[in-house]
Amino acid sequence: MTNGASTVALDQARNNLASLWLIAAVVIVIVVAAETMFGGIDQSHAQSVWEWLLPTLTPTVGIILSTLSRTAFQSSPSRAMVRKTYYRVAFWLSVFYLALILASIVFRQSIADDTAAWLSNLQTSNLWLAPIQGFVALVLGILFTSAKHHPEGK
Amino acid sequence: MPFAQKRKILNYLAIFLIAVILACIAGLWLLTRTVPGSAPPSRSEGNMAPLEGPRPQQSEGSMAPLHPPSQKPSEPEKPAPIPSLPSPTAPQQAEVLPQFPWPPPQASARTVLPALQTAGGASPKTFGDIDAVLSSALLQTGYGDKGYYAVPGGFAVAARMEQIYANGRSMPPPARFSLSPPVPPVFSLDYFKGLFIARNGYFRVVVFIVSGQPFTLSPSGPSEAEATGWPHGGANALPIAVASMPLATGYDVTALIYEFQNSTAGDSRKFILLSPQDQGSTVVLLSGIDHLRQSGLWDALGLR
Repeated sequence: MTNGASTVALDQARNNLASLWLIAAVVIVIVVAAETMFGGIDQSHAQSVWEWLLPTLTPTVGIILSTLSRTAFQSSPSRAMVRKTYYRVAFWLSVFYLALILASIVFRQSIADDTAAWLSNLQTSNLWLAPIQGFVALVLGILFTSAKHHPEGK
Repeated sequence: MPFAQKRKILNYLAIFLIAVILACIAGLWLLTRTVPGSAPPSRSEGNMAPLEGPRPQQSEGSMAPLHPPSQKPSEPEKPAPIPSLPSPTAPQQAEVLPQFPWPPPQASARTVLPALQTAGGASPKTFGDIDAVLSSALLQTGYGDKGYYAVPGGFAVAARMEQIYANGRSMPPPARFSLSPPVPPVFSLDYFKGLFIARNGYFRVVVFIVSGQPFTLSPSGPSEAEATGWPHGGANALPIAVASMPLATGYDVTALIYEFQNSTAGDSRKFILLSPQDQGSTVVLLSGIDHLRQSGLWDALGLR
């Protein structure tokens, strides 16, 4: 599905990115849900934690799922190609962003003494997470919403 | 490597990762459901009394009040007048030593110590002798600061608040005198466990009351800030006028243990006094002797 060494099939790129995002989102949600259920996060702080978490994932996951749903009934695979460089940027930017979120959750004991202090740090982390999320959304938005088809080999 | 193959590997890795996380969570869940009695004395999070607010009634059992038969325990506690020490120097002592809250605030545990002996093996004759035994024991067991207070018919000495394990053993420094539970090493099992199960911190303040007068405890407990301030709020040493006073017959040395708990699940600055007064509480409270043994004070005091 690759065209030489410089391009990759759009479907392939979308599938890889969708896998990355869905798996990471599932892992993150399971971890936070377990923390909430087992008492790692106090009930009084659970809502604030989820209020921080969901906006970091849902917009991008929403775009990905809507695109996958839209293309699910296409009879033939798209012939569109995308530059490998662009795909790599999208992939590694996603990895970086998702790793930041996961690290904020998994290493919370090293970040803060307790959930209250951790929440305060999470609010601060929006200062750098929001711009990165903006870049990720921009890159993925183009990749997932572009309907332009290029003839193969062109 | 072909692109599709890379994706397959990525998918397998992800599925494996999710499976591992789910297995760990299931394992933790099973760990938290241990059979009672099979584990070392652990503290469950039951209905613990808030730090402030009146306690509705005295508990029975190990914390039975020392009321004389004529006195009804249900009667509201009045601030008892603080009688002076049996000595003409008492007014001076009252000036130097601040008063310890009287009756003493509700404690997590209380125990009257057996007769103490001086370093030479003799029976103590003065308050100073008792102070020497207590000070030496506190020094040996690593309590740095202590504060002296006046109490009716004697004096009180409060040790510094320390962090302890759930079984009452003192933590090694620097965690011992920290007000936050220690963070386990990253990537350790405890660190992973702490992610899902709140880490509880246990803190203890020991107060020795040397007095010839029996006393009851106040229905309300101290706040964490109050208990933390005792060593610094008191005098640094026992005044000579008090130290030279002869011990009254029938004097007792009573250890009051104030144990607090905090948790990393919420706000770890919120301390809760563990008290036997809490009806329906599932917290397993240690006895006063257990606390003294685990802290090393029991041995350091020469008690067997």
